[in-house]
Amino acid sequence: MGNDVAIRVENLAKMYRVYARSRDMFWEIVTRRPRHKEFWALRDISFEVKRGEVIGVIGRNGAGKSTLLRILAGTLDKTAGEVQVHGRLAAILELGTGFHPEYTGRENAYMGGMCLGMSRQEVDRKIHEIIDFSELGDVIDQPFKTYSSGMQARLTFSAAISVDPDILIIDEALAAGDMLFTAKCYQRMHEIAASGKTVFFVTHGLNTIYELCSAAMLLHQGRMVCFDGPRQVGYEYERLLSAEREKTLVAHAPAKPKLVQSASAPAGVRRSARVEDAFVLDADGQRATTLHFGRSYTTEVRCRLVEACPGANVAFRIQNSLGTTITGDNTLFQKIFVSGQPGDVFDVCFSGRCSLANGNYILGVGMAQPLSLDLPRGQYRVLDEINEAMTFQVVDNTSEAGHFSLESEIRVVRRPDVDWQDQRHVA
Amino acid sequence: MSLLSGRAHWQAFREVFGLLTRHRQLTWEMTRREIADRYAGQMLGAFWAVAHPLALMAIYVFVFAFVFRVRIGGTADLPLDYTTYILSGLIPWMAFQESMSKGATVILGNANLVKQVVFPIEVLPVKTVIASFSTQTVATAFLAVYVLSRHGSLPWTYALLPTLFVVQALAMIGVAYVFASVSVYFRDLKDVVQVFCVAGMYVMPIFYLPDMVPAVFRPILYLNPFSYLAWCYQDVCYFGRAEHPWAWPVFLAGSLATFGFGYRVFRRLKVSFGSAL
Repeated sequence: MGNDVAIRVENLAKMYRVYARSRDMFWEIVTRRPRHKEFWALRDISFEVKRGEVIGVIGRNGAGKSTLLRILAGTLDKTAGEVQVHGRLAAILELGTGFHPEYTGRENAYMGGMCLGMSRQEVDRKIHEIIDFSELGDVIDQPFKTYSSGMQARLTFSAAISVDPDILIIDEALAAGDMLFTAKCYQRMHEIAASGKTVFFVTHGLNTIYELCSAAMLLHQGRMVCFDGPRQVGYEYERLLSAEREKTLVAHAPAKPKLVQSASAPAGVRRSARVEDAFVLDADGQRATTLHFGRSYTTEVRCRLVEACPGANVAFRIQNSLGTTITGDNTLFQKIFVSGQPGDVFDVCFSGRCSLANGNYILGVGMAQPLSLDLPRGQYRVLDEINEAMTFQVVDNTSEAGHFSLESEIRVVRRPDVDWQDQRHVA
Repeated sequence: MSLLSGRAHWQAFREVFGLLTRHRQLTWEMTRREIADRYAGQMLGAFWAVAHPLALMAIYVFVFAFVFRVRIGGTADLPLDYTTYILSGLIPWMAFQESMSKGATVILGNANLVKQVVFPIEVLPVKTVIASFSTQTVATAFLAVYVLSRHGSLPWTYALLPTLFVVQALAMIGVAYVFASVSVYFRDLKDVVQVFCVAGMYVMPIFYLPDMVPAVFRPILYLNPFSYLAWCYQDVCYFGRAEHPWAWPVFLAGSLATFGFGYRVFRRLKVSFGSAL
């Protein structure tokens, strides 16, 4: 049991002593009177990561992500708590660390590998692999300082994974690589995890977490808000961001603080309509997050008019876990509009059979208004939208082809009148 | 932390040597880099590693032997010439002060390594010391060639040099450990060290004989631990005999104690390097 735990952290806390001036520390030691302020970068962090897991850490700037990673990597001391790391660990905490700008890429790859604990012979064996993976074969013998930051990221990543670590820790180092290389790194992270190793990384992209991670962790102001499945954490993160946005809005526009609240409100925009809630009801009128294939459900969008919005229409969209839109519907398609007095609340109900394939989905909802009533299918402006109103899963589908069941009626018709030989001649 | 606990010192020795054995390739590579890094990207490159100490030595010899025209040597008491006398004490001191000032900045200067890489940082002060010996080796070879050409033969005591190197290295590593770790918290230390290095040269018997110093000030020489370093090297390189027999046990014991003490200071302070950098 204890064998498959890669990282165990209990009640971890980190406090930085902040001195206003550097001589304050000296006087504190001499006079033994505290002269520092305490800054708690991490508090009460407890979690356990098993082998083979890919964990994404997400959170706003200053949430404590890098502090946590540095403590796990062992380059920073902790103030309280327990940290156990089982296995060989490699960390990419910053671009090109330990790399000397005057030396060539090849020399730096050697030094980087040796700093991470490999012997010269080990690097000798792996140098080709490192260069191949970094795709820097042409420039590997040029000075490191001539590399672009993306190229530096490539070499750093390649050197770090060549160590063949049991636990790989990455702090936003991949942001500089281009899309192809980033995809390749993610692919490699998948492979590393598949071989029973553990990957622990920081990112700002929810999509990365959805695609890569088996679990995710959300940090906020030094505390762990949640450690759960990627979707749940993504939802919490969006909620947190929207709450933060609201705070800045209240601070900047105290006169009308309540008008703008929803998830993706651009700051400072006064909305003329709002989406209040969205959910899926089953046949008994109960809210559902697990949908059974083939049964009927109603997707309800509750919205409120702040002003009269002529021609307002309501839509929903269903995305899969990769963010691809699978399907959706819009009142506009059936020329149905929501109209009424300011303050009116409507429930817009879309009913139908669930023909989605098994899997996890995200429901997004929104309201829009055509810019001109004469052009009902032309340009429109978004009144309000919630990109991730809820997540749900579909079960009980027995066919496995894509995201959507066509539920085709299938017949096999015997055609004795057509001769196979003739067919071939025709062709 | 007791200075006199023999077991704690023995433990420190075992830890450092175990570490250096495990990371010997890394240590060697970093030392090589340390020497090459100083001149990386420069036209003459490693040439400066040799030229720099030689030029410094030439300047001191010129000033003291030719400008001030100090005339000593050639007697039974003082067998070799004055230049040899200066260089015997100056060379180890130059290496020592180099390792001190480099040691005081080695953790600060490699902050990104210390903060970002899972890395045996104990290697860092050691590599500065080993790199300083490159200077000393070049300079000592120069001294040996000079003595040979000037006097036709080398004192047999030159064979003792490797032993002295090892003892001196222990002291240098100990001092580098203390300075490297303390300077993380008191960054002024590197300036204090630099001033001390300039002044230190004159409060030890390198350019003069202890007898030339007024009796009132003479205790300063005996209190300065670096005097014992100079005396041991003068015995070996200049006198060719144990002219200062009491300097040897003091130097040996001092070096061992410094090494153990230095490493223990470093070990205690290193845990919070990450926060302080």
